[in-house]
Amino acid sequence: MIEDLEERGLLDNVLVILMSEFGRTPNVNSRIGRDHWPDCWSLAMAGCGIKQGAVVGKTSGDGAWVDGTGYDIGDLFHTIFSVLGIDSRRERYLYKGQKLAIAHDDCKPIQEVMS
Amino acid sequence: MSPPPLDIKSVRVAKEFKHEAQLFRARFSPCGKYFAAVGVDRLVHVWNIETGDRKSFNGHKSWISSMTFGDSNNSLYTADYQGVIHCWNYLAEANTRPRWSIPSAARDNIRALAIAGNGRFLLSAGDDAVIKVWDTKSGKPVAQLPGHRECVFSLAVHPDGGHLVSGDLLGSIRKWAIGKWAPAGELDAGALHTRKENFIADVGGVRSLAFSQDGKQLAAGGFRDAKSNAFCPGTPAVLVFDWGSGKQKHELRLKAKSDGPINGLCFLEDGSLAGYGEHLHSATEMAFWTPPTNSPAHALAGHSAYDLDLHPDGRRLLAPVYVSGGTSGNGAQKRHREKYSPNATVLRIYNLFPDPVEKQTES
Repeated sequence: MIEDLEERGLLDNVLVILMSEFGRTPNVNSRIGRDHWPDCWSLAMAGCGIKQGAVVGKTSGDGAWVDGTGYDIGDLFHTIFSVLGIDSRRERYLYKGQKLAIAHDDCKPIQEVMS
Repeated sequence: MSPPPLDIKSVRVAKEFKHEAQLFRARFSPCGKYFAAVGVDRLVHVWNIETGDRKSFNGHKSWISSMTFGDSNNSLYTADYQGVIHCWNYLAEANTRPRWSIPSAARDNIRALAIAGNGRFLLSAGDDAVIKVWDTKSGKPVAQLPGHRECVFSLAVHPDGGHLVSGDLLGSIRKWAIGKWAPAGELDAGALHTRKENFIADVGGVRSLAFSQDGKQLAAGGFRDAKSNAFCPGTPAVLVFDWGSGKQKHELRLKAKSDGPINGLCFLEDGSLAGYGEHLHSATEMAFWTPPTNSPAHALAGHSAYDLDLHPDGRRLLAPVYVSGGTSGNGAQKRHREKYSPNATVLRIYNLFPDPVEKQTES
């Protein structure tokens, strides 16, 4: 898909995100499957506004914990909106009459992944 | 000296060997003095049963999914999730290189290995759905047996050496003539497969196969009636077929609550059948059946095990039993914040005869 987008000259205008809502346990369980592990996981992005080849952050050797700087979903949302040209600090959305932030106010874009 | 009398109701743990990583397969050596076990740490481990000494061989680059001892020459064959097969001399020094290797024996996971032709042939099968036949001395290819439509989980060779069977994800058991390397029929174990309308994947499969020692029966282990294709909980079951007619004769169940397949089927010399369950986050059992009775004649509670092997003396069983590190479930618990406790294995040898000391006390 990414190659298709690039060949068609669309990749600069499309943001592709590969992620899940949580990670998976470093070890398999008794059914040789993995359980939920929201404590540490990774994702990949390509396209619009993303620096190619950037690798940001790492886990501990056993894959269980973030090693060094960790990023919150709020940081991810600010990054997504920023590369799409949306001011994540100004925009609000209305929920039952209440204006709510579209990304956590105490988070910020991850500059290291942005071109 | 004749072996002690077989008595499944006397089954008890005789020896335990703890291991720090999860292991999926464990088998006794043909000489009976050793056992080997393999799994997620990518090493081939060999233990001396008497002394407990362990040595390891390094060569696989991914989890090891299947193994079998050869009939001669101290050979041990292992295969992994990347489709690589190695042949080892299990009596060699630790870390001795393999005798030979097949780097691309399969496109991906090889789930079962078996020996046929009086030790001349190594059979492999797995996710690419093709049974492959290799020369045990050289690792050179001999034949391929296509036919399965989905991944193959299990292999078994008939005691008379003339046929082998293979079991797949869809519940198909294929018969093959050894030597001619040709199809020789099919048995229907479709009860061990589930694909409901709202499923996005097939669930279940023939996870273990075993012939009775007289060759008249074939047992197929797995689980039926899966409720979902996410956690895949189902009802563990063993189907027993009459080899001559190909017809299913019995369906056996566990006594304990359990939701995964029945693994490591072994027929014992008294005609009873042993198998071991798998259960998510909870204990299951090792069960012994005496068909036609469909519930176990005897069972021993324990956590999940993925294999079960009968010692050459017919009086002991070996199982790689799951040990929880306490970190399965929905994220890290508070007590594990400082350190992630990995899951592990305890390899258990069970005696299938009364303890002589207990027997003396009773009398």
